[in-house]
Amino acid sequence: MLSVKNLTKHFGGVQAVDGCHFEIDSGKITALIGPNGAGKTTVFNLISGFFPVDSGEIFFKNINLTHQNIWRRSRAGISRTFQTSRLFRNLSIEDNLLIALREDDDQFLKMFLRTIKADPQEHSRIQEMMTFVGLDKDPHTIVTDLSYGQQKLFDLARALLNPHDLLMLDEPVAGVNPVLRDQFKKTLCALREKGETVLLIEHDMDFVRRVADKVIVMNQGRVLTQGLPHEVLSDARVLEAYLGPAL
Amino acid sequence: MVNFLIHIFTLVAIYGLIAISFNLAMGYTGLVNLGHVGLMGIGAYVSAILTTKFGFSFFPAFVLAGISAAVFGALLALPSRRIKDDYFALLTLGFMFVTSAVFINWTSLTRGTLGVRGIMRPEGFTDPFFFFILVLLVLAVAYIILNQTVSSPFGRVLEAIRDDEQVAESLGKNVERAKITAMALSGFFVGLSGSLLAHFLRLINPGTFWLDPLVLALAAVVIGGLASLRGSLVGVILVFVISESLRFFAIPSSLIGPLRVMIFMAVLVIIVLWRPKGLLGRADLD
Repeated sequence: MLSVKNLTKHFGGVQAVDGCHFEIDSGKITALIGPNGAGKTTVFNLISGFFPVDSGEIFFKNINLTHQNIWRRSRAGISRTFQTSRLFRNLSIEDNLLIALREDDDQFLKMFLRTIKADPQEHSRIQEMMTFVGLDKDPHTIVTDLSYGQQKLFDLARALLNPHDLLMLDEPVAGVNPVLRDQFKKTLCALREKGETVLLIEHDMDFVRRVADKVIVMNQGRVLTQGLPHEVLSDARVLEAYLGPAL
Repeated sequence: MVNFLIHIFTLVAIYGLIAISFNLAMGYTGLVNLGHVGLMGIGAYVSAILTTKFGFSFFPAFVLAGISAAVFGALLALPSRRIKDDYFALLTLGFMFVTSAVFINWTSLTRGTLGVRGIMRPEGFTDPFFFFILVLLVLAVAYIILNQTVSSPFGRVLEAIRDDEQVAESLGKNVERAKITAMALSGFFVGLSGSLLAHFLRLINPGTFWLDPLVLALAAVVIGGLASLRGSLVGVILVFVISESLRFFAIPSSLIGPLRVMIFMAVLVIIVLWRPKGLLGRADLD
């Protein structure tokens, strides 16, 4: 489904991504792991178009998206969350989710003349999604009134409502309390059952072992190794990347 | 006294139009367009020149004033993809200086600092009261259109762009097109306000479209609150009450202008510190 070929990106003198190359399969959960500074989030930003690539190519469903705008990539089917939740802070839960749900609301004339009727199911879909991610809140609540963990769950709900074929989750449980963390794990397991294609950055190895079908390990901007979770997580090179060389 | 009140009410209505169109760009879309008064000047000069030099009647000139300001508004939005926040504000402030320089120096068309004189009020609206009714009608129509816009899903997208345009784009929104549309709409209505002001005052010069109206509009929007059209109208009324009440104090006329600006600035600081959403706003001043 997604093919990343020889991606490179530098910031000043720092080579954040250096010839990164991998593929992810449809209907699988792929975990992208690696020590801090390995370039995982930069790869996410390159795939979703937040940063332009220095070189390399990104193919999604056999379409070259390398130089496409962010919104075109989204419409092609890429949806993502953020390491630190980025919600529309002055808007309510419902408005945040409606923006994700509707595809044609950026067209002024159609919206102004109301030639497109709102989907009568959209409010129930929002409620269903809130229940799915385990958020029991009044939809009119302003999103900044949610706790940090709830904002992370909400970020996931918004990405799930955005029409997509690939879901990219950037450290969804980082900094989240154990109760919400468990909620997150259940939600991801449910997504796995539904056959969602997910690319996930995560540091919780137990979590990765439980949910991932494939693990890609990055170090210093490159793919160190990739394969099945139990193989990769016992690889000496991976342990060395995380813990440093054995004394 | 009645004539004075009609004069003030007409100005309030014209500034109401300036403020609600300013709020569309700044409050809803997050584009701090300090060139708003420049767009107003374009509308005013287009309308004034078309009617005094080219024999147009008021209404076609009025519509063309709106359209020409809308075109410049849309052009002004183009660099907003790369130039953002404070830099965009500076860029648009530069645009206001450029428009002023054009009004001053293109003397064959604008008569430079002498300004355009003899701008007539439209037939049937020459009486100040009837002209006030015309301005009020235009304000009401503009309010309905802008309210319909901001309360539609498109308005929600504009607010998303204001809060985080990159994330709005990552949810599939064509941010660039939405910003251009917002700036064009905002420009259209401020262009109309420029035309109304020109035909109301019957004389315009480059000084009419300088910092004073910008400060007044900015103060009205901030006091009334970002992302609230109703708030902008309340803000304009409050600003005029503050401004006009200075007439009743024994202050030398040369000091009234600077004092007015100082008071607006003081009110802005108070709002920013203690009530960042303004009186009726939906969004924080960021």
